[in-house]
Amino acid sequence: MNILSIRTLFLCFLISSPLSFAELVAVDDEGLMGISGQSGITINAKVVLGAESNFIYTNTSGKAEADASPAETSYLIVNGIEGALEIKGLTLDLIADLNNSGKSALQWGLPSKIVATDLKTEGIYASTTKTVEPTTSTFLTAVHMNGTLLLPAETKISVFVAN
Amino acid sequence: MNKMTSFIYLSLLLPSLSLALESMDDNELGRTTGEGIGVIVENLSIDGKTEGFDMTLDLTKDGENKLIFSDFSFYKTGTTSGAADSGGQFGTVNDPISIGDLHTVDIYSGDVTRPSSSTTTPTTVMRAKLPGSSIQQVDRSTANQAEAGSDYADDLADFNTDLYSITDKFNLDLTINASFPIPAGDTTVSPGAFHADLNVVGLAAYGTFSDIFATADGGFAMAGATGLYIDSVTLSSNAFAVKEGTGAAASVTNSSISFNGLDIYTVLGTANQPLTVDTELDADGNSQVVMEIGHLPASVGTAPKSNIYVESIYFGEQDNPALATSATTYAFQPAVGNTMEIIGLSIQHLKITTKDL
Repeated sequence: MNILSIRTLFLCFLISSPLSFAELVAVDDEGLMGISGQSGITINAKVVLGAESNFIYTNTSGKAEADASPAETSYLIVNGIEGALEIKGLTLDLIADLNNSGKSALQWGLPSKIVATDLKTEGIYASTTKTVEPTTSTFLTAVHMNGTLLLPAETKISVFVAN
Repeated sequence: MNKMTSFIYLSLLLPSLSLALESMDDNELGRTTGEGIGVIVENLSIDGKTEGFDMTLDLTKDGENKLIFSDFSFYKTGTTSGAADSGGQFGTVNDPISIGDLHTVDIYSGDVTRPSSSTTTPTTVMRAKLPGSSIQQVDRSTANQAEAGSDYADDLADFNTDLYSITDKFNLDLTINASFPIPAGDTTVSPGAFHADLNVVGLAAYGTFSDIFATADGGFAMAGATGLYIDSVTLSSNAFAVKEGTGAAASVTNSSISFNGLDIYTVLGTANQPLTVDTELDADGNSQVVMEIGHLPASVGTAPKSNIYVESIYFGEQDNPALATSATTYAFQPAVGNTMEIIGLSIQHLKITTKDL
């Protein structure tokens, strides 16, 4: 295929994009009924975090970060998150009539097993700097988790729009 | 030619993007606000005993002082942890866990010291609620039980019907171990370990909600309340003695304390006294976390009340002869009412600051 043909093909694809968007319409209840009953998605996953993973909550005393003075700015830092978290059998499905309520819902089937392997933080700090420093950060606690949590009863979490 | 082609491609892309991104006008935003997300949990059961799960909190950076939580289980009352039928219902479609519900609340912003100052600022808050958030605490005081008679029984029946139609009762089991170092050569203290088994039976939440918002000078702020009714809470240290081979002869009841019929309703922050979380520097220049419920404004006068009722307390066995005050009555198990009541607890000002030890 020469370059012109590739461009022509790409052009056709782009031209079709707006037309495709025009075909996206809301799915009514009847349509959703058709979706319900399908098997949805089943997920097995393992997340391995390196020690450089951090979570930082910034408190600017109600001001935009750029407007807050150093005295008004502080940080809660979950530093050095590492380890592995494995889930087995997480499912996701669409429900058209949740418990005969007429509501559509996104339903998560929780995994039968959650395995934490040396999932831990180096420390949780209150800090006046965005990174952990000996002179500006105060150690609060550190968390370690290990082992297996079972969910033996086929736990389901349904999420929907509340009135 | 290449530039022309790129321009054509770009111009073709833009219409599709403009179809996807449209701003919402005030009317549309108005319809969005206030709906929130509902969540219900069916067959809730978590078992950390069968295959073992533990969580350790290091209280010092060197890891020598720590709390270890293990054998955690959360399951429907009346079932066995880990069993297939141990799942319980938490919330219904009409009364779910609700999150992300936006409301406008008038937050106090006046001078708390001046009785004439009642200025408020309309503030958007994000409200989260647990099932049964509209259920109010029953007046379980001994005085009311004695005076209200059948009215009290009716109120109690209504409370139970309302609460247990939207949630099951749950049990929570947890083992807590603590370890801390003993100074070298110090023989005056016991080995540095503590052990307790916590067993909560018949746990259910009511009247629980939280509003999260930002204040002009305090940053993150919260107003909310928590209500819990629990059939019994038992704290026991016997299992450790048995495990260590030092107390196998001791009975379970001899090393435990149980609180029965607990009803705890606490208010933590209101629109007049938000709970704020901030940091501040201590005298040594270290950052410390500060949680504070501000001073009660003089113009408000009365803070919402928190009430705690405990029907009976067992030291060891239920009818411990050592605690008998008559042939049929025990000191911590009254025939009518409660053995302990904390009524009308109101917070005028509360400030909690972390401290390096």
